[in-house]
Amino acid sequence: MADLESAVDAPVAADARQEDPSYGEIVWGQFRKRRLAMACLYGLVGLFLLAVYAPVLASNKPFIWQPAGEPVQFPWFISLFDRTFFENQVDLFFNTLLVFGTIIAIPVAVVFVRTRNRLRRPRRAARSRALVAGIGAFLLCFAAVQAFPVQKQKEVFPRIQAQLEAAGTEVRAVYPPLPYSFRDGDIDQIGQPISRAHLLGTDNAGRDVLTRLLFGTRISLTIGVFAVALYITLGTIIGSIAGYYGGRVDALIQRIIEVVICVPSLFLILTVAAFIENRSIFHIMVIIAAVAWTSPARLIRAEFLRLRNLDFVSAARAVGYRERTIIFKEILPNAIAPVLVAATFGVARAILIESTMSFLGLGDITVPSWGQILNTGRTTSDWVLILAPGFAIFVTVSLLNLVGEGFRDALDPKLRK
Amino acid sequence: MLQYTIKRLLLVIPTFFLISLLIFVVLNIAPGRPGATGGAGQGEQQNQEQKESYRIFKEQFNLDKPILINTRFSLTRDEVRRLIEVAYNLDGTALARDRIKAQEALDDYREYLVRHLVELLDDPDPAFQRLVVNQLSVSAQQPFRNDRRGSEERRQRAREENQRIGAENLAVKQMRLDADASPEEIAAMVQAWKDWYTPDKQERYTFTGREKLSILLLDTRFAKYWGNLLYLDFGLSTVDRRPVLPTLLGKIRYSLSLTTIAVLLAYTIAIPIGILSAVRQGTRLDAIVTVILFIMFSLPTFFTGTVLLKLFSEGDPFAIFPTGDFQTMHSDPWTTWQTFKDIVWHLVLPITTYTSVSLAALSRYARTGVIDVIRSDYIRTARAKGLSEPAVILKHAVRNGMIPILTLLGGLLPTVVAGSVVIEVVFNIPGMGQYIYNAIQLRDYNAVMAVLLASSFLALIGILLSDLSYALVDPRISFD
Amino acid sequence: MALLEVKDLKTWFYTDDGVLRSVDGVSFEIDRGETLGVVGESGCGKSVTAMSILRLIPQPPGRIVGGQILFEGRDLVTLPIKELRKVRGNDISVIFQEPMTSLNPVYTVGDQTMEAILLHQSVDEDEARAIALDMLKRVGIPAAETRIDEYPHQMSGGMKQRVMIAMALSCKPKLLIADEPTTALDVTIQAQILELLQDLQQSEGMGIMLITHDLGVVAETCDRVVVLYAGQVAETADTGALFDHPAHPYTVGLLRSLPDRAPPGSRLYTIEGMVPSPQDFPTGCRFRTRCPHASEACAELPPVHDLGDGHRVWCHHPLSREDARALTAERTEGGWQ
Ligand SMILES: Nc1ncnc2c1ncn2[C@@H]1O[C@H](COP(=O)(O)OP(=O)(O)OP(=O)(O)O)[C@@H](O)[C@H]1O
Ligand SMILES: [Mg+2]
Repeated sequence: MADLESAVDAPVAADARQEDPSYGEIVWGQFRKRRLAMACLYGLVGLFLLAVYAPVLASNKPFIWQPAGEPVQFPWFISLFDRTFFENQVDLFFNTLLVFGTIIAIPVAVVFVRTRNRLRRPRRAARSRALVAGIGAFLLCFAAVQAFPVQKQKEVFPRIQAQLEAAGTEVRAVYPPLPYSFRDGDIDQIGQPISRAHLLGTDNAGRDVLTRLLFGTRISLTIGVFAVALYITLGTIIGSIAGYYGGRVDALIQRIIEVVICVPSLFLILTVAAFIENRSIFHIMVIIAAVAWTSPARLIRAEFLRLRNLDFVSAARAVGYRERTIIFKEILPNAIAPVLVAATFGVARAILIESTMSFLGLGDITVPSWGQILNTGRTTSDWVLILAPGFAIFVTVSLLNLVGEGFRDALDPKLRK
Repeated sequence: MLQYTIKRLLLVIPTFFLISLLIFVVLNIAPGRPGATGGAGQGEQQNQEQKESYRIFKEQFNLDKPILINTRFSLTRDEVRRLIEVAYNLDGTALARDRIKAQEALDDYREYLVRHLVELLDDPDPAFQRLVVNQLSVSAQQPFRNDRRGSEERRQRAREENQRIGAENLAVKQMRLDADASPEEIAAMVQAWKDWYTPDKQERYTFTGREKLSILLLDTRFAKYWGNLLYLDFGLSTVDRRPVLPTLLGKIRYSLSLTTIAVLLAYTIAIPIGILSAVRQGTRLDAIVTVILFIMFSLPTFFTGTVLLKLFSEGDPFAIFPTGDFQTMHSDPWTTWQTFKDIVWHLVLPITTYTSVSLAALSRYARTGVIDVIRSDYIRTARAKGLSEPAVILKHAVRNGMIPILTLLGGLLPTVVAGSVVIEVVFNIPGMGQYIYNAIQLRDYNAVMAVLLASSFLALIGILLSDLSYALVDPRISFD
Repeated sequence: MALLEVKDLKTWFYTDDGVLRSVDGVSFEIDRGETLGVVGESGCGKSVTAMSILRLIPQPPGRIVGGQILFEGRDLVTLPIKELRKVRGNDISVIFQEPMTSLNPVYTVGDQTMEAILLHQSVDEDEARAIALDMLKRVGIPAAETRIDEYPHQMSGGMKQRVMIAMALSCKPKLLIADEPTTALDVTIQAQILELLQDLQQSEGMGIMLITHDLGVVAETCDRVVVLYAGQVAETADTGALFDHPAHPYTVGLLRSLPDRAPPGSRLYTIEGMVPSPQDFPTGCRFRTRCPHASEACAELPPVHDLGDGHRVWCHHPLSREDARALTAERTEGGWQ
């Protein structure tokens, strides 16, 4: 009886309830206690920043370019949105983050810092408002970048500089610390060993390995996050439908899931990838998502079936709340936690799958993916080209797995000591 | 239990059917047509022979058929006319893309065109008539019977039938007109075709309702494929034109010997490690083991494989093991022992790679399994009885804790048989994994299909075995 | 010499939230053929005390940090584990509180009952099975011949509890620790089980440590009672004396909250507040936060008052006989406040 009363009160008492720490805050508090997981989370943030600011570290476009007697130019900045230089959408996205994301992040961060000491409720509202505004602004910027494509001629500045200086013209040029392009190699520099100029040497096309690794971070993170976001969304929708309607719909979806999990996923992924001409990393994300959605769907379905029989749902139903409202306002937030843990591990897995595909030569050959670098290392038998990308994959996957374990433990009430 | 098993086995059939449907559709709608090694026809200019061989190729692999349902019997004369107009760009406005499409459609529609083409022979324009005649001489050719299976007698009959079809086809093939044919020649050929279209042919090329229904569902790629599958016929490889199945079976032993050893090894190492670190939970030993396993768990297979290969067989710094392949080519006869030693020597590195990767996951499973159990009340009960610690662990904790990891074994079935693409590619082992890898790259449609189907089937059986073994080791689960 | 003598037992749990002094200086003794009742509210450390006797505390986080547990003169706390194993299940048996989870789901109840018999008695399988079957019959399992080959999940909670009891009694222990053995059972079975325990006690001279919430059961079966509060002994006395004139305010509270002492229609008496959780036990007398008689003095550790006949109480303000009788007999009328 007591259960029923409190359940009926629950929606009315929603305002009062917000004063307590939310579920998310409790989990976050638990997570923060785990030092290793926290350190790994910082590591991931660092990796993300590396991906965003990669062009600042490595680009063959000078920040400042001024041949004697000419006006100052800023080729680096212009190259950020140049479709001939950064031909890939992934790079454009990250470059938008680099420029506009940084600008937007500042006011959002200010809101977060200033609300730090406020009472809970207004703080939460202010923070989420700032976040939503920030994300909206960023998406607008990205749309603008898409709408106004910049296309410049291909210019290799270091070479021009050499030519000009040979002809006696002074050039003032400031380059990023690694003045190399991740895409265009220097045929004079093929297979260079480790040196001060090339900290990790060059590959068989004369490209600086460190630069490529750096830009590979963008690829791996994008694949991981987007593929997982895609299949989690898909799986959540399908799983909630199955769990919500039950009965025949559920049986049908179960059947479909059964069929999909039997299909050997790596074989299928490789096959479909190979059959697509001019595959890009977007294809790869879609393929990964298409075979992986079953596990979040099953998780969500199971949670739904468990939760829909709990007292608070039947109580709310008895009082006449609309079932849909109950399901999506009350059940889904409860059910999503295990899915988010699975998502963290999923990102690691997606990164592994993508690098495996690239390693087998079935990835997007136009991007500097880690797996592809490793494959080059295998065919050219070059230790640096094997160890460096291997280490990058290892570190990224480990960080993700450790953060995932941290979240899982934080969510698990059994483990709360 | 028996009843349940039978029920599950029966369920395997529809599930497998759905799986095959899924794979089939995915492979067929994937952009880039499977088996498309030659280009489609580009109007009349294209080399006639090339076109012909591509057409035969498509026919052989049923690529001229629609994927799932066939509604070609409902074509109308006007549609056919339109197709011809577009394919040969008669009004000069068709796009190249549309022309290729129309040409391909004309190639594929075959017997469904004949009826309409005969009617179109009456067209007043001799140029158009000529095109119709030439189309007829293609479309009226009949497909050969498949004579690869069945009893000797049946095959004999099929062969005779094929001889007859061949003769007819040859005749039909010659009933065509060159580009510079005179109007008289055209008129003569038109008449010849009209004569050819005898009542028995009329019957052959018009379809009753029943026939339509069977065409709708059965004259499709999928139905044809399944028709063959029922005889365990996975078709011919588009690469070497040999049946896929024997090749595939020949590959299994490589994958199987590699993976069974590796899986057994992984289990025998992983379980004790997992139990040990669970029992010693929180000690330094546990911490060290956990870290090592974690590292192994996060290392990608292809990386481990490549590093091992380079370290120990490419002479950088060691050249202990052979650089790949399953065994050494040799001309002098070897004893069984020599062969065995040679194979083992070749397999050391791939097995190590495979084991190290699965070992990590397995011991982590074993550890969590035992830890979950070790805190439970019945372990306390066992201790309270006065059982020694090893007895408590081995008798009471392990059996319960190992249930999840044992049932994983069933799920490994497809990998055990189909091998691992990465390892077989890195170590150049001619097993199933490498086979599918090569087949994928050459778009060897039937081979890919066969491997996918085989491993899905094994996965189905594996899941079934998992569930059944679960019921065997865990009395709480009963299926009655 | 007493069969079991627990002296100043301290079992603490070292958790992330600090040290939980769940059992903190408990002493009592049990003689041969005697039944000792251990009562107290939930969480006061009854089970931890019981579990400490056979060193079955999960470790980590738990540890016995002090005290002695003398069984027939041997200290179980320091006994080598090999020796202790010969005591476990043989000389001392435990019936655990959680019958639902205390049986291993993958072995038949017969197997699990025979396990201890085979371990401690020199019998072969058939004999062990006969003993187990006999024991199962004696605890009142119907159709024991077939049930012996069933798995725990095929049995109801009460049935499982009886299997647990059969298991514990199968080696005819000298001491039986029964942690709420009858909570899962219905009243008739409960009576049967208690009778069975008493029978065995008489025929074998078994000592029993009976942990229970049910003071009615205590009154019927126990010779002496130990009242635990927050990991410490509040009072110990012969059953008759304790029910007649409890001296500790906590015991009085417990007795007053008995339903059969309240008239129909009146509201039951309750001790105000709840047992504090181990990390915030008060200093001094741990009951003082809920005690109606608490004073300044209670911030100091309570002294022990020996009231004779083994009746001892740890309290600054023990109640006199008369007060106690008056209080426990008082009708809690008009208790609708
Ligand atoms: N494994 C453990 N880890 C940490 N603390 C524990 C553990 N077991 C018991 N405790 C602590 O010891 C205290 C006493 O627990 P105990 O189980 O002995 O209570 P009890 O008197 O048996 O209660 P009940 O009547 O509910 O069975 C509890 O408050 C609990 O916090
Ligand atoms: Mg208890």
